[in-house]
Amino acid sequence: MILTCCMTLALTACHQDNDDYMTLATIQLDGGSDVTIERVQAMAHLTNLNTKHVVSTADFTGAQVQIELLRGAYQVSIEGVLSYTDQTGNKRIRSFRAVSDYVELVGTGTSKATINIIYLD
Amino acid sequence: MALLCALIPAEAATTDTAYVERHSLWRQTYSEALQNPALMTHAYLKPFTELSLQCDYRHQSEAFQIEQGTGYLKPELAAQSYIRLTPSSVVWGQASYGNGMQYHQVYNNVADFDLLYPDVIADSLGGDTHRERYYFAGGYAVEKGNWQLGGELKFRAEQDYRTYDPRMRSIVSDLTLKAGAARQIGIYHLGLALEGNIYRQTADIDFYGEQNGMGELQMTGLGTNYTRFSGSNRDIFYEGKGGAITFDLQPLTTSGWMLHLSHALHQYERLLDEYNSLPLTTLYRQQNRLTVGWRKQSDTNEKALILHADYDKRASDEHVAGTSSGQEYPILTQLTMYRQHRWDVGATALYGYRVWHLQLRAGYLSHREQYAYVERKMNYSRVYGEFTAQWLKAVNESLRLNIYAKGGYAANINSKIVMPYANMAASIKAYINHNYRYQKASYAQAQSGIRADYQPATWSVGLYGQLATAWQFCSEGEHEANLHVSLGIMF
Repeated sequence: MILTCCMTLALTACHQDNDDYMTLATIQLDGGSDVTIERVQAMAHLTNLNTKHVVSTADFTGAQVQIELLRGAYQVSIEGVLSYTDQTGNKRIRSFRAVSDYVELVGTGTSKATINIIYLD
Repeated sequence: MALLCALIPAEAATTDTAYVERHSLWRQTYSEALQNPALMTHAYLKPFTELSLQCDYRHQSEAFQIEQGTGYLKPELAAQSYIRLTPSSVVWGQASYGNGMQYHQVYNNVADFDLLYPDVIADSLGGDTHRERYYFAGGYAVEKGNWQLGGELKFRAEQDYRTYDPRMRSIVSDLTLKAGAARQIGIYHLGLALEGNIYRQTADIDFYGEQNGMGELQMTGLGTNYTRFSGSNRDIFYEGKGGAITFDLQPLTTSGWMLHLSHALHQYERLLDEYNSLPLTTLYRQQNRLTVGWRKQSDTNEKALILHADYDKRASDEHVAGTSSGQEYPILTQLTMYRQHRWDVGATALYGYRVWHLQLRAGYLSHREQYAYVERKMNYSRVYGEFTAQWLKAVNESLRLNIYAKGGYAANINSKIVMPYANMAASIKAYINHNYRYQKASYAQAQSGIRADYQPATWSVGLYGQLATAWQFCSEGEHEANLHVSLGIMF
């Protein structure tokens, strides 16, 4: 009887629904310390690892892109062209790719991840 | 004692109290109060033991709910007993063994679909499943002064399996403990009961045919699935626990107001065997019931008016798994992706005059399901009404007859579906549309049955036989047929 009572009382506390579904994710491209990225024209594909749902965007501001996502673990793939200024002040435009197999974007409100780029030329 | 008193006038009405008290429609007005084991102390005036062999058959011309299949054949051997130990204490018990078949279940490869929906493992093949079920229950109640105390234990063991691909096998153990107390306060009995439940199910699906190795879907509601762990992960188990609290107010006299309030919470966690017991989902189920009624008995007639409101909520949390380290997956967060809300409110009016009982029941049912992202919704609501007539009489010294008939109609009043059809697989689209077709339908039902009990005065054992049939006709042009047959002895 005591066991029954304890179980019942322990479970009387209601389950709180977890309704914070979305996070505003910021993906920052990292070209290294000797490079300042100015503009990016690229398509970013974010694949939710659990649902396999894919979200795409090309809305870059400087070296970062922001997108509203379901909170979770993602695979990120970005490919396109960027312009940067190097240490000597030279401006260049180059093709690049940035891929990460696993990024956690689970913050309530906002999340941020930085991904290294690799030049294709 | 309230129950005992309430039933005494029925004796005058039908001349056979022991029979009436167990089979009269009037009896149903007490069924909720008897969920409290303490109130079993005086539940029946006469002790009884009944052994029966029974069989239930259902056939739907097309499955009304695809996961539940098109019907079943369920033979069962059952025994139940209610024995008075002393004038103030009783024991009761029940045991049954069933071994049957469920036909053409699709998108459901677990036992206890009703409990676990939507968190099941499934595929689009499905098939016929065998069901073997053992059930035991026993209780004790005693009266001490103004107090009545009782306890009850129920245990169910079940296995569901299929003998061809996909070979699902689910093994269930389900233990419920209940403790109750009731106290006489003024002209009422005030009862309180607490219940605890422990549940476990292991479920796995095998394919023996070399060509048949298809993926299994870890369903998460309204046609969605946990894609990352669907496919070759076919061994899962459920761990459940839960509790309930019920409160009852019953009048001591044969007439008066009654109240029943119950609140139950259960949770069922689905874990993946192959990934070190990785929790995939947790289903939280909340059931609430409020019943308020008034009843009155006199020497020749019985009247009751009962209002009920039921609210049932399911919320399923998906555990978001991170990246693996060995076979360990950290859980990053939980998201309540699926919700179901179900309301049922209505009224029951019962009138009994000597051997006749007439019951009118009407209500409103609202069912809403939703999946948060990408948004899916399936809603429907119905109004329903049904009329039941029962004729219960001791025809002579040896033979008693119980004949009843029921007719009803549930009319759909609105329905709505929101689905991302453009991004859904054709098989899932067909599955969802099939279920929705029957959810938004209206249903007419007709039911009738007869039970005959035969026990000459010189016999110490009585015989009984029961035959009942029920039909449902769906506005989609399909129908359901039910048949129940039972034979037994009682003493």
